[in-house]
Amino acid sequence: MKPNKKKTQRKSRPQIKLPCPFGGNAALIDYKDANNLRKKFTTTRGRILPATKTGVSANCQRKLALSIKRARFMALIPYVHYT
Amino acid sequence: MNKYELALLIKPLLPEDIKNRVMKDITAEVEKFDGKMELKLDWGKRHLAYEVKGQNEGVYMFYTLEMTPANLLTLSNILKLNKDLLRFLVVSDDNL
Repeated sequence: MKPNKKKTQRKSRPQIKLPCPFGGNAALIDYKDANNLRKKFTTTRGRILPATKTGVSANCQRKLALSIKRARFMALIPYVHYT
Repeated sequence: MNKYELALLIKPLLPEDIKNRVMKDITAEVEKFDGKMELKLDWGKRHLAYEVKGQNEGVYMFYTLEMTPANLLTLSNILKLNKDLLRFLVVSDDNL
């Protein structure tokens, strides 16, 4: 049996709420604007960034994820990008 | 009648007359279903992010569509059979 490691409690950092880049207006998000979506809201590997990192509001994040998936389907953005 | 946006990705190396015929066929198909179709954007030839059906480039065209939902289903079944299309996407207009 492995020795039971004592769990260290992680200190919670104070969360800073970033302003939504779309100002909470989900109508601004369009899958045709793929280059912009890719640069700002995906990693270099092509994964969608979490809203906690970008500050996108919940409503916009849902729309954003859908738009990114549409842009991927239309071959505007890669599904995976190998660096 | 609902409003939609139709995105087409066409094979890049088609001669101009065949490309026009493809577009005419699709617009004729839409009119058969009492729909309206208008050119919204023409991006021309673009490099694709990944290979689609052996092609690295494609021609992007965007149209506005007005159709009933039932007719749209039959239209998309017709578009699926079109061999000159690499991809197509229909998005409802209020969802853009």
